[in-house]
Amino acid sequence: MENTDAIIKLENIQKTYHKKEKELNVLKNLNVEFYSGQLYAIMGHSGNGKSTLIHILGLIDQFDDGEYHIYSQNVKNLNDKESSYIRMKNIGFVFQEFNLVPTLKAYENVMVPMLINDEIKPKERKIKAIELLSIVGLKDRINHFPKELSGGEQQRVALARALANNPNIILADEPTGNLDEKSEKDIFLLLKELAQNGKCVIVVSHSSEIKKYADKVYILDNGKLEGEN
Amino acid sequence: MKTKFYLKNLSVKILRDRNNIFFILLLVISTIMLIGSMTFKNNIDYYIEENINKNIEFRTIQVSNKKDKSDFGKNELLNIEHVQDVYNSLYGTFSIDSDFASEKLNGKITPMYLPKSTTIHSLVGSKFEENDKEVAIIPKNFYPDSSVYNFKIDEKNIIDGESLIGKKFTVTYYTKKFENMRVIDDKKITKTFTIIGVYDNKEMMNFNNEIFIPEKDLNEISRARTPQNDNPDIIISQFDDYGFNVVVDNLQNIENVTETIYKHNFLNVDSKTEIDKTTVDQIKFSCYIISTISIIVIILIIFLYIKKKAINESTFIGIYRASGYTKKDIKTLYIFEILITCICTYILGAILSIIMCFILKNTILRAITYVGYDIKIYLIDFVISFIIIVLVSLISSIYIINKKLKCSIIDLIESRE
Repeated sequence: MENTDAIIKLENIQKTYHKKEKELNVLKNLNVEFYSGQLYAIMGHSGNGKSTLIHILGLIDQFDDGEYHIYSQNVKNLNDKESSYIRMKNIGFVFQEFNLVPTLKAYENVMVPMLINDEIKPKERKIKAIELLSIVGLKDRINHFPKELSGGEQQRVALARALANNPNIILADEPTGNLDEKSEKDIFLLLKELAQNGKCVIVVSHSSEIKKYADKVYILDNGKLEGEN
Repeated sequence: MKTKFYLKNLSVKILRDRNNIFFILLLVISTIMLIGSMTFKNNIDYYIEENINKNIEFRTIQVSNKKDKSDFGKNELLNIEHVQDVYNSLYGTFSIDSDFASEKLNGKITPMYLPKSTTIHSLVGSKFEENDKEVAIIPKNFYPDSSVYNFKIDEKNIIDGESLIGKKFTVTYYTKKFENMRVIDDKKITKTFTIIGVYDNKEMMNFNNEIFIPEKDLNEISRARTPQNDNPDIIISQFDDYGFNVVVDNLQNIENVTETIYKHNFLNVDSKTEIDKTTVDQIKFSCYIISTISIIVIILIIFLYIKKKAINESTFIGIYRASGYTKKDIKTLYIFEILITCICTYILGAILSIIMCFILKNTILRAITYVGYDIKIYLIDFVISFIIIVLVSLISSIYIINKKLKCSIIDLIESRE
């Protein structure tokens, strides 16, 4: 079910870290395209740039050279307002640490990204947040604070938060790194479902379990992506 | 992002964050300290001002008399420009028993001299006439008990002075004599007075047991109470040995009159009552020190609170940024939150200060209101402390949040400085 137009297109992306006179080229002339309706898995050894890649894809890290297009828009040299707008409209993040605001209830955490989105009316925000929590199976946990939820449940709240502004791109950086097997499976299933509903889901993971759900698996090795299937 | 959102969502966030409790508590205490010290200092200024303006004793000079003159120099003093009146310095210095004594009041009253040319604005009833004798003007809130001098007044036992106009009362005192090297009571004297008027003792900052009687009566009582001494070998002060109190028409003329009295060769010229400037300055200095410490503590508390908040919430700032919040959104969000927290805390501190002031006014300090002094709350103190808190929180939050936002989003999420 691959669309003809890539949502994300990376051309010759390069990223080098400079640490104590030592250069570390984590991404070398990386070329890749991501399409909607697909679940992509990016795998590889620790420290070889998987997270860097996903951060660059999510416009929360800079790349040194190359071209990066989202919906054909070149995102290089965007100012803070422009890149923030792209993140708000198009990108949803899920991190290994759930990073939920401890003083906010589950539905309030989900509402956080909506609060800057004028397209969602204030009255609709709570309804939408509850709707999203229902999708991730937490309808009966909407009024719980993060500390009252299990790790798997917290990650599902984080996933609902990532979906708050209905972005087309979901970026998950080791989303199951802190979860047990059962929760891991649940999260991967949810991510798969999202891809099946037309989202472009890109998951960085160590877990070989992801291969069962991914439409395409990439291995990041020596700064380059190699497709497995 | 709308104001409504801030007010609704941030108030929830502020109230739920337990880290705020300690900060709020400290800031409330500092605010109370700041407002309290400023209020105290302003009240001292006000008290001095009130005292100087109301209390006749501030424009009264004590002078030794001239033994070689038949009138002890009284007329000489009266002829000095700006001198309103001259009277024996023994007047108004003692309390005597009266038949107002009851189970609850000891009946002690202090007969006072009313200097000539002094108008009692609050007088109800009649004033003294030239040859009046055995008449009295009493306070409208009359409390014939020596405890007034310890500021202890039981409101339930206050006597309505106006209801006594036209009625008589008696005072009892003893003549004194010197015997066996000590002063002892001799003959008991009873004297009856008719109450012809009442006055508000607050007008002159008098105590509630201080009554005015004509000079003739005061002279008689004072003379009687001065120990008689027939033994030429022992020197003991007689009534006429006491000096004079010289009442000056205006505070500004005190210095001139003092100089003139010196020129007339009177000795021991001194103000009867004057402000102890050193003590007042020390108290004021202490107030400035407390205010300064409070301001420093407020600055430190707010700065450290915001800094700690920025460190603790670094990840959330990163998450907000990753969710599409611009730097401006984050700045507005945090500055708004910090301002709301600080302003709410200030309001709490201000309300508590007012309550504490009100409680003090109605308990420990209530009695001083009977002598015409009132604890005042000054709006300026609240405005100044409000401006300090708003400015400190605004400048600190802008500085710290701006610094925080210079970090990359990923550094914020991973809490790396």
